Amino acid sequence: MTKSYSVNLIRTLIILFTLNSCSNLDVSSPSSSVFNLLLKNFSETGVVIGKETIESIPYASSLISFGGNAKSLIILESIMEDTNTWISSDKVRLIENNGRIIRTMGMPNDLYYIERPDLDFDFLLTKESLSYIAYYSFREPVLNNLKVEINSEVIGLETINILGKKRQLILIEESLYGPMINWSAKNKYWIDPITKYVWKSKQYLSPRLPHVQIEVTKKPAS
Amino acid sequence: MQKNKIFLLTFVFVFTNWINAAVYDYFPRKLEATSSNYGITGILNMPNARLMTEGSMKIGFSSSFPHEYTYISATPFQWLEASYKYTELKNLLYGPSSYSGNQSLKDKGFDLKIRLLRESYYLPDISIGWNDLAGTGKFSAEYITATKNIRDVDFTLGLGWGSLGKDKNINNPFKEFDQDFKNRETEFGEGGSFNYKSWFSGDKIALYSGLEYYWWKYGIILKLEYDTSNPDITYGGQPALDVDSRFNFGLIRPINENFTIGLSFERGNEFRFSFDIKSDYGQKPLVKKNDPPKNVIKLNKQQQKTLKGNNEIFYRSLNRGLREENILIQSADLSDSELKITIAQNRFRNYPRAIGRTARIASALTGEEVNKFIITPMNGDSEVYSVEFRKKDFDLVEQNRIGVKELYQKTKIYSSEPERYKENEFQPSVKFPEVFFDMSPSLRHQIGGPESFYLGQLWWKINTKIKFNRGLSLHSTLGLSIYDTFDEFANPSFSKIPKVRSDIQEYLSEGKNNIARLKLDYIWSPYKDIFVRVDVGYLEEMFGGVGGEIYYRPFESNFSSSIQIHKVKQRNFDQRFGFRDYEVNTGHVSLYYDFPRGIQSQLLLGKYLAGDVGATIDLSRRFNNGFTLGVFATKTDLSSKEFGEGSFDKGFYFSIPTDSFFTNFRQGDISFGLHPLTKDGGAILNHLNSLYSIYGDTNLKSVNRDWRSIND
Repeated sequence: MTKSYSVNLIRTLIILFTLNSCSNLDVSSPSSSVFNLLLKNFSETGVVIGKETIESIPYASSLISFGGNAKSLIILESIMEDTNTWISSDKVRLIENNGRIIRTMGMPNDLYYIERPDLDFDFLLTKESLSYIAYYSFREPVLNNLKVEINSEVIGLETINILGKKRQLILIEESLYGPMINWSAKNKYWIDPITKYVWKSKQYLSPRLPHVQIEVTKKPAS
Repeated sequence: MQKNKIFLLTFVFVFTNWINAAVYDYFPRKLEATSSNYGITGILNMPNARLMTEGSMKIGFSSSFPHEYTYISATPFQWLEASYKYTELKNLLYGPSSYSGNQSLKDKGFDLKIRLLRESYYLPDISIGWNDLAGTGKFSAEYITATKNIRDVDFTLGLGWGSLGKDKNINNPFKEFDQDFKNRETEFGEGGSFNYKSWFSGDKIALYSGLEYYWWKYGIILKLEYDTSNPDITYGGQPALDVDSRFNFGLIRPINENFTIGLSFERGNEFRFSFDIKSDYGQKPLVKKNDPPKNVIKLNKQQQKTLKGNNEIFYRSLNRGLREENILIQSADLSDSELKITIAQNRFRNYPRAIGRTARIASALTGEEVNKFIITPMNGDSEVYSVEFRKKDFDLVEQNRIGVKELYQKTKIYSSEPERYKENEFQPSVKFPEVFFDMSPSLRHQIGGPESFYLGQLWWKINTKIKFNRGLSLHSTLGLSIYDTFDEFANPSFSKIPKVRSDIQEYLSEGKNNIARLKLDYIWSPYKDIFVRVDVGYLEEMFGGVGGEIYYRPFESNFSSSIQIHKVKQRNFDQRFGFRDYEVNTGHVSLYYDFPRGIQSQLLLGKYLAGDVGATIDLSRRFNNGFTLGVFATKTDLSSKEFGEGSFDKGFYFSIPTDSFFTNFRQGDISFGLHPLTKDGGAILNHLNSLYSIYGDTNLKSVNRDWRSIND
């Protein structure tokens, strides 16, 4: 079972590799890295990632983009309780918990840990707005326990289209402010009103990184 | 208990600093020492002990009344910062209105700062500096200053002499060593000479101070200084100014990594606005490179077998593969066990990168029986050197199994015998004549003249090169005027020596549409390490003639030399086909030496265009990426009086590799050079294709410097 999973995973990574190559990101070159993914304007003129591609991959998948640049595909590598680990062709790992990225690995600057109250979206949707404090820790370079003031606000329903499929989702906005470094940002989460599943999000993971946008194209099996 | 408290406080202080050290990486803007009002790094009017990062260059402007500064500053070394500035004195006229109208006075100046001690945990940065060095003296000053950062505040304490010491609040400490330091010369001349006898002299000087608060959270630097330049006292022919406060303050805001703006309030009654554009060209390109080697797929056994014994197909495949990298085969020879390739290219500034890309493609196309590559790059149709390594070692580098240093140790690098490439089996056919053509808009100008600060021309420049044979080329540069303001020229030369350069106004105004250059040259290498050029025609805008150069570059030495001689005649002002009466034989013996850390030196000895005899010294710093900063000075047998303002010829230049602005590799530089004054003494021919420019950077030292790119 484990062997079959590994073989499938490798096969899928090869598909991702090919997709990205076509989208103008030469992952085979030594200079290629997630830094290119983040900072280079690779266009969407290559292969269009469509439903068929998603269906051909036997794993949960999401479209990811950094700083509004072209989208690339990530797939679910593992599930551990409520925590999902997503992996890109560059071997960047995003660890997500209930729609929130709580840790990254392999980025030029990594989010290491967020200490925050246990407030899930089920609870936040019942509050028009809510303020709380979180502490962010980063690596490359190291910064521990950066205090971030967060104000969460329910905005309302919006229609979101992911690969042609339209969904009515509730938008929650989180305003972040790190007073020590004067860091301001706004995270957005689009949540299914029934299942409370986060289908789409725009999240700021670090003051040194552009925002990351994630659209779930194939949801992990629950 | 008291001990514990002290320990705790110390621990908290140190620990807080440690925590903060990490925080600085997360602030929205990087804050670092910024320019003074006039370019050199400083507070506002007073310099501090900071310098820009090594390899940085900055262009800036600051405006207030009465002084407006336009400057260019650079840091060729981490311990040296230099700045060249134009100061507009809005409260003084350039000259009588019949001569220069209402134009305000412009003063040129050169500032220099040397760091004596680098800041450490306990000790401050300490620097010594000269303002308006070799200038007219209107702003001449010297200083010794210390700056220490304590918890986001840069504290500066300094001693100022000359225009920075007019507050005269302390005795000059140097008087204790020598009474000559007591008297400072107060005569202000035409400038251009180093009035070193006045340096650090004066009975009384000033102690000044200032602080700069780095407000990281908001990305702002706040500045406050005690100004001891006392402009309420006349100095250097400048009228006194109202001073309501000796404290100046201001704030600086970096808009991004390269652009900074500032606003300050000085003398208690005037605002000043400033901005500068800065980049550390020497350390990193403005644009990150994304030009990896082309992917090559190694031939399988069957394909190798097909190619084996069919050299023609192999050469064509190699030729095609290399063309993908813009590398042109000049010749190749495949034997049972080795492959020789001679290449030419004009894409990579750095030869090892071109060699590596050649080897990568050759390796993919050759079978296991080929175990050695000999790759010879050419420049100017002559081989520059040969590199010989085992194919297996190169493959190991590609596979990251050994490092490039190990490959270097296993590689033979040697100077090539000339025209060895002709012995190779494969000689691609080249159809002569080859014609190369490019055109672009360009600027020609004169800055700082009495008629107007800037007079210029937008000029359409058309370059053509017709290559008749290997080494034999006709070069032409034609110019077409689009727009100009040269009709305002009203400052003819009154030089007492042959006017070989000072008729610049006539050349610019009468030669708006011109043949800037039309010359035939032939370049070849008759013997190993020796290169020769002969040229004839309109060599440059002002002179035409015939001559040549011999350049000797022993490959393994950091030393090289050349001799060049030309018989030239002055061209007509309209720069068409006619000549003026003046003619001269000019020539130099040139000695070149590459010091460590990219320091390049040139010494030219010989006869200059005006017939004067003397020497030129040129010192430059070349960073690994090709960014170069340099200064030069020429002293000939002309007296200071014969030479005129400036006393002797001098200037500076810089060149930024063009590919700093692009994601892909390309050759070429954006160069800028400035002579503060266009004078006739110490003038040399403006050569195209000087042999040092073609072959100077092809010695073993350059291979060593660039070798890391072999796998890039």
